[in-house]
Amino acid sequence: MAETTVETKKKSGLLGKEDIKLLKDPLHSDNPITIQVLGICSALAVTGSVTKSLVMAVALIFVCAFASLIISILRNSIPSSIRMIVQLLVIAGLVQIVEIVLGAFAYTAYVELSVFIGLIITNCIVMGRLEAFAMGNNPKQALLDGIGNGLGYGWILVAMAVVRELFGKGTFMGWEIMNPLFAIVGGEYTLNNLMVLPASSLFVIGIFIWVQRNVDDELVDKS
Amino acid sequence: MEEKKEMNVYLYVFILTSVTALILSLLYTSLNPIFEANKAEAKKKAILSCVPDSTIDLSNQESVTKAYEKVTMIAVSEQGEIYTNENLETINTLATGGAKKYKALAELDLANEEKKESSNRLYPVYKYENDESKYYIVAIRGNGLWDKIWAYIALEEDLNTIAGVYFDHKAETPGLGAEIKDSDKFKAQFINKKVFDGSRVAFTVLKRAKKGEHFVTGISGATITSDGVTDMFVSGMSYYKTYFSALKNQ
Repeated sequence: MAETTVETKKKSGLLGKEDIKLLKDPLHSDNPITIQVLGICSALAVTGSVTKSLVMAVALIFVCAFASLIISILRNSIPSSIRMIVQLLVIAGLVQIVEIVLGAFAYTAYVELSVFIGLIITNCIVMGRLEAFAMGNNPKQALLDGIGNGLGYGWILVAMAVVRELFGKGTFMGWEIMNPLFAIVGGEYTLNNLMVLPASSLFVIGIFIWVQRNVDDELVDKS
Repeated sequence: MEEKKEMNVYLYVFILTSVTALILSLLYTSLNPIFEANKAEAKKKAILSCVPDSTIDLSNQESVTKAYEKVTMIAVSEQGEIYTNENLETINTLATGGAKKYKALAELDLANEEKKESSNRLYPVYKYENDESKYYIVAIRGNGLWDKIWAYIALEEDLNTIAGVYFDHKAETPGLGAEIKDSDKFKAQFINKKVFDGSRVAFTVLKRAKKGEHFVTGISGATITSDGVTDMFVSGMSYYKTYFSALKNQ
């Protein structure tokens, strides 16, 4: 999947069929978290609250998309001996931009996320896509691949956060959900403290992978 | 990939790093004032959050600004000398050991003070005064498990009873050490406890709290952070001792 250069040049409108595929595949059949199992580290760390993971998702989409675009533009000029160093420089620069912009315009998110924003630099999805795709494809495709993978990472992250926040804190983006809901039948919701701990993400990811493979048989490794 | 003529590696790296550095420094210089303003605002909120005044609405910017008008700030040394905004020049002559100089007393920051020699260090006191009561808010700073922890402590007029606390940390573990900041239950324990026993800082965070006005229960699974809070109280509060006793004798 990754090494194939897209050859079809027949295009209808702005995005061809292949381009759509680049965007769509990472959302499901080639998802970076549930299929490629990349970027798990940050998926464990920031999925405790929905707001946090939304900010993280947006940040990663930005870094992944622009790193892919820039590396793809530079791909023919990068001396091969320092290929990875150049990739790292581009990623680190973009992450710094995210950090500075967040600090100025989303201070609360910056304070909560600051350590993890820095860790995008080491997020395997970004570098993985640069090595596997952006180095061998044109800028437009690379950009789409970057956005696609960012989105694929992002939606799983947010979905996990919804589960963890709902059961762990009884809220959704800070709004009380569980207690009013249980109050209808005259009960009270007891918080599930396990869901607050990072380890619970592993269970949640596991359940996601299981559900996804049950829905789509083709994802199951036949061997 | 097809054969191509490669650029000199050193030249390539030089150009690329220069471009990156230029973009980042431009962005930083243009956005840093907003960042600093955000930081100052967050500090005001942190200080006000330990004041038990129900008229303050921390989510409302206007309310925060209005409440902060009731705060006056001074800095004290361990020997009890008092510095105000008018002594700014004197304060800046104390900035040794690579500590940054202040443009206003409000910028005073314990992280920066730590760089000075211990005899030159200053400690902030924020006085909050409304119609009914007066609170003294002090700043303390210490070590958690992974990195620094710090706190604002509001004391009642007797300069001993805790009226409210605000904790923060750089890198404590979420769900464990980070609970000093996140757990309202942990923070609620501090209220009405006493810091000093005579002239000694007696305040202690324990695994299993003894009943008493000097003790609170720590966080299970976060012993080192909890002990860090104790050490922070013992050292941080002792710097204010001379100033407090002078104030009481007035």
